[in-house]
Amino acid sequence: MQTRIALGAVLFMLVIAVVGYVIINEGLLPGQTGRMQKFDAQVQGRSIESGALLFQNNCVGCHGVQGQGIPGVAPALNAADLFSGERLKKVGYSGKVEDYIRGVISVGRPIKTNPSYPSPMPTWGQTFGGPLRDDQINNLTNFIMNWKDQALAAPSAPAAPAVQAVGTSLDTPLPAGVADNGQKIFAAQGCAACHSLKLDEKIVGPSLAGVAARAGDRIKAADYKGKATTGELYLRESIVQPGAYVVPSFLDGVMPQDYGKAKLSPQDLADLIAFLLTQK
Amino acid sequence: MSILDEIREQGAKKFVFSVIDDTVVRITAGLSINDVRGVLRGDPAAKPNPRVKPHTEGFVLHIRPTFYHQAVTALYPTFRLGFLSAMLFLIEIITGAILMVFYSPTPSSAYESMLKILSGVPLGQFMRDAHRLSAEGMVIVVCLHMLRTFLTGSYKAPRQFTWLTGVVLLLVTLGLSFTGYLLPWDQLAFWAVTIGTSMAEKAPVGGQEANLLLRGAASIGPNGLLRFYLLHVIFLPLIGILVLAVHYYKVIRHGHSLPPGMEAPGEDNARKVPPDKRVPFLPDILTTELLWAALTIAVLVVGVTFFYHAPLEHHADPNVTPLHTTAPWYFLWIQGMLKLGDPTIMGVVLPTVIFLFLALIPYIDFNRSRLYKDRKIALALASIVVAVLVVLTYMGTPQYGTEAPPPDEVGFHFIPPEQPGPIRSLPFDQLVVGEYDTAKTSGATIAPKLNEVLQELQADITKHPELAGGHAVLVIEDWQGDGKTVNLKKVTLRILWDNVAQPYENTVYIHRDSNYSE
Repeated sequence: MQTRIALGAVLFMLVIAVVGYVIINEGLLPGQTGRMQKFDAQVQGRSIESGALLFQNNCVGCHGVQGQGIPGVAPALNAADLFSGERLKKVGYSGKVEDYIRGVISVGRPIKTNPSYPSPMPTWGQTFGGPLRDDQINNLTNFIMNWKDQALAAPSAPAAPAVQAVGTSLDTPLPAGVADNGQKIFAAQGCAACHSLKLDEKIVGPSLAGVAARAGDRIKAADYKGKATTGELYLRESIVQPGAYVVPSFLDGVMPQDYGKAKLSPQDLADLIAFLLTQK
Repeated sequence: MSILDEIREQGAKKFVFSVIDDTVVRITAGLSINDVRGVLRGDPAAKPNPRVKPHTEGFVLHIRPTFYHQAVTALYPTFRLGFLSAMLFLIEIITGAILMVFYSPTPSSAYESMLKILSGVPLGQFMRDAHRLSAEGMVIVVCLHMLRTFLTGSYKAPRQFTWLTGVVLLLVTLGLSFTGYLLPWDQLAFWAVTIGTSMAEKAPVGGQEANLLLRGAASIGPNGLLRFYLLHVIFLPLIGILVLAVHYYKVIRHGHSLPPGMEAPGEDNARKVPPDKRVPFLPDILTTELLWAALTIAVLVVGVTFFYHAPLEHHADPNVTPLHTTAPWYFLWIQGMLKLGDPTIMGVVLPTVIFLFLALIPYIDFNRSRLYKDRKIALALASIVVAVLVVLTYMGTPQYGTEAPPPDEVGFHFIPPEQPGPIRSLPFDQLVVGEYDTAKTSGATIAPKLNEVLQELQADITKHPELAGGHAVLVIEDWQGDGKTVNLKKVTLRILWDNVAQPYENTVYIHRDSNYSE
């Protein structure tokens, strides 16, 4: 029995020692980086990861793949003015940036407030009738807030590689296009925000499903006023001179005018057209 | 006589001693300080023996026998499995009560409270891991306890009812474990319980209703979570404590079953232990039990500190079913049976019959002998059941018979939706920006660990004959940073093979602080 008691006492002390070891490493002292602080950082990191995936699946169509915004569709989210508070001042919001972001995602912009963005932002939070849960909204907010340091560190918008723009003319020669790259440009330039690739689905502009065949027919239509002579040229014209011909029942002046003037290089345009020609 | 008179008569020192002694007698229900010292010193008991008083007059020990038969004090035949089950149950109650303080059972707050327990509560992770590990341990120990009882024939007359309460306790244990599974409200919890409860749905009579009653709606939501919580913290523990008390009391009534052959068929030994074979509860059995308790707690504490951490996956999402979802491991055998045939028969009828048969074994078994040599059929049956359970459990795992399309399997292995997997586990600084094709061996310039993963990828693809000419492309991009260093990277895995119609593509974002490699 003495052995049992002695052995039990030793085991008991072992338990106390191990629990003590755990407590010491928990991170209870101010300034200590213990298990609890590490776990916090981990949770934050994984929340940003989840937010990034949610952003990719729901937001890039309007706000751009890197949150750089798409003129005429949705504002930039990786921009310094959002985090410096300038943008909040403009709209008269007096709370924190983080809460502003969370609020806008949750509620959306059901009422059109800014004329430069014709299509209203949908409601995302479940509380307000949208599809995302609170924890998902939180992840998205954390992801967007993770742009803060980067955006503030480079206040004069990171010098984007200057695009040698293709111009609006239809006559300059284009290099050979690669449809796969065109698909990426289609996503990066936010075309999908307004143009669906599903048949007859109207978002803002006309659906582009089947446009490869339709382009050739359009130029023969009686009301066609543009200068294109082939389907390919028609697509080019529609991108760089959106006003040359507007498909009936759609509004003129909605599509941004600067794709040819500033955004697309000759290679980009060729790729994009090549991609559109695969939409049969 | 007033207190003052007493003090005057006895002297202050003696009076204080007598008050303390009195208090000790009350607490121990009959043992004075001298008696306790005698117990601890190992002195022989006085006559009349004061050491039986805590059993006859106290509440705590009244469900424990005053002595054991010497034959059951060795490891065989009990292996202390019953004591260990009760011990783990007690640990569950204590750690569970602590976790309850920080937990709130609604879908919008449950997962958040888990994060709070893990990040903001001192010893929170320790308590959760201990609760989870002893729960899993309890399932194993309870099953082993039952197997042992069957093998030694201890369920036979007159202890049939003890066995029956034991089966109820097994069901309570499984129920507690299963209801507790849902509470973290992560993907693991949500889908394991969805699969588990959907088995009930297949019952020919009342299945839909039982399922509705359990889930509180067509699928698990706020009502289901609350019901599982209440089952877990009130209903099942109450039943458990009550039936456990009966189970213990029956041991006093019939004594521990001695090794087969030492008891005549149909008889018990509770009142027939010869004095020289008696091992008194105080102090021998108590100190042994305390030693076992200390050992169990030490193993548990060391285990959760250095080796085991309970999993926590992403927030439950009813819209995203992870590939290869399984029921909790102790129900895998049912999932295995489900792969074999009609869900109603395999998922409901057979398990019900099995548990019913289990409960009624002592009343069905007419072989009164407990000797191993007389019970060849029963023992053979037990070994077959154990073997079948092991095989069925294996068949319940995703390895058996649930093959997703090959590229999905490869993708699942390298970027699993919930576990870290090889790609997330890479050190952050080895995720060098670039496009890596596993078919092109450029070798030397690639970061070593990344290179290892790329080669594993190619090897895994080659294993699938459907992916002839297959290779993978891994694209690593910087995604976000703080202006100087990058803290978020985007990794895209693309799998291509001959005559590919639609290449497999999966994207994962990896944050520096996520520390999957730890």
